[in-house]
Amino acid sequence: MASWEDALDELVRTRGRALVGYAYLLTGDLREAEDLVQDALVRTFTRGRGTREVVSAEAYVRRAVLTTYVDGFRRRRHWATIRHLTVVPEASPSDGPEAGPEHVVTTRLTVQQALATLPPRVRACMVLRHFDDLTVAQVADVLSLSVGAVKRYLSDGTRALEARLGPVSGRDGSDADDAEHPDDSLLTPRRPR
Amino acid sequence: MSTRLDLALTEIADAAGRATALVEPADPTATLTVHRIAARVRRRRAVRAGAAGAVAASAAGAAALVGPGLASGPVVAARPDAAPGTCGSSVARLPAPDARLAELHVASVSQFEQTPSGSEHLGSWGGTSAVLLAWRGADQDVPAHELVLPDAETAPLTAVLEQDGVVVAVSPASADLVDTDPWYEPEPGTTVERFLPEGVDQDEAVVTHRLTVGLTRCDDPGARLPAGDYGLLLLDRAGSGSTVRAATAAGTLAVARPAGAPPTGLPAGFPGSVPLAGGELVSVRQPDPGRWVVQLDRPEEDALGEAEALLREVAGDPGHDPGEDGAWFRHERDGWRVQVLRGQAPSGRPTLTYLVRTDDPGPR
Repeated sequence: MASWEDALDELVRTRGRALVGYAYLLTGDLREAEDLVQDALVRTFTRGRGTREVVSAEAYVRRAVLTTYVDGFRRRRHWATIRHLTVVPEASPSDGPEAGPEHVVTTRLTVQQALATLPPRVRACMVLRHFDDLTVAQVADVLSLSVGAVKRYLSDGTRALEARLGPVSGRDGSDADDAEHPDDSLLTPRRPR
Repeated sequence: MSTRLDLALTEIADAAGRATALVEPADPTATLTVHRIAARVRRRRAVRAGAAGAVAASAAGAAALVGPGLASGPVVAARPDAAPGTCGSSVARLPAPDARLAELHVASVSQFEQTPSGSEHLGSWGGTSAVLLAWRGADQDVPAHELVLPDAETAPLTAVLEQDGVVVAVSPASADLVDTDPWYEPEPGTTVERFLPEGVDQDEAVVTHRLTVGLTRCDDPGARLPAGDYGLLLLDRAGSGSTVRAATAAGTLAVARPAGAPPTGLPAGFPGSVPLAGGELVSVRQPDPGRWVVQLDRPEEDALGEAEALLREVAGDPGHDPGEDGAWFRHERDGWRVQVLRGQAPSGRPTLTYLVRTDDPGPR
């Protein structure tokens, strides 16, 4: 079994980019995403649970990223209001030579901008549901919300995105706010907060 | 045709992963990043066992850490006989944290403004001092108007910096300002939206220490510490004496290299009398005639204060203009006004961002 230092080293090198990408979906800001991942790594490895194996450590770090974000990872508001003045209007993060076809980049940017308009909890619900492919019940469990609240957030989020993007769909072309998932029959009661 | 959210989100995450500078496997900074995170973990793991353990652990981790931006050895000679917490003393002799110190959360002011939670990495600093906030919740079982927190709750802290287990900088306790924010029970039937930093419960008072941490050598107060990472320790001294009653490892801060000269190569037409801070030019744009946006690579926490001081020397205090956000420095003779802000380059690296207007110097 590897030491926690070895696991940390391997996790950062092999999964660091994926973790930053995940955090970016929540923050919409690359530097905040990097800070969020570093803080989540510190929290996870300090606790020491499941940190000897990279796979389990990554799961804990993702959870820490999410809870840290939802618990109040806030962006500086004044900067947000003037940020558009400082950047050349291009893809951010940079598209670079590895960028995909033009229509993919356009869609990404449009979705990115629409995502930025969502409140933190709504955004977290949308990412867990559509990026992590969790069931509504699982989203509720992760965020310590009721199933009803998650359904409402997903509905609100979908409506907000559709107002900017037109129709949106989930995996396999299903409606994006469709709460029905193969595992959704396994609903769990609300967990005390 | 509908937008597939799962695919779009995957694209966004992949693009951010490609853009991050946090981990570039072929880059030595990846090693540095891992070492920094590991050092923070060691500190946090050991802090429960006492400050000495925390620092010993971080020093052990730092032994392998010699890279860009890091000092390569202790800058102050160790003095084995020095009293704990004094210049050159060994941190291994410091006592464990007491309940008050163990519950402290620490962050730089700008970190706190972004997220009111403690941070292990307390930022990079370009000047001769770092301004930090340390806070904790305190039990309050009396009405707010009767609240008098005992001295033990509000006693000043002494901030010291260590490197390789040796105290290299000692800040006077007089630099520690203490503020208390009591909790007021709301009137029946009303609710109160209360700003609560991390670690403070709804019905607790908040005790906040504003710490000015000197970044000069304790054996030569006129000399700034060399660039590198230093561990911050907070000490609780017994009364006004020098005996350290308790100590805690509170995180790491970086002393930055000097920023260098102001940027050159600005376009013709940019008002040359605008006093820019030192630093590498990241970008300069002219979105409209008479308007400029300049970004400098200055990630230090205190870069904004330095930039504002330079502007204040030339243009006096900034003022607020009707219909404009924020405060502007105005130079009527040369016909410009300037706002300076903390910003970000597209890469995500913190910048100093100047908004410069020459088309409309503002009301006179």
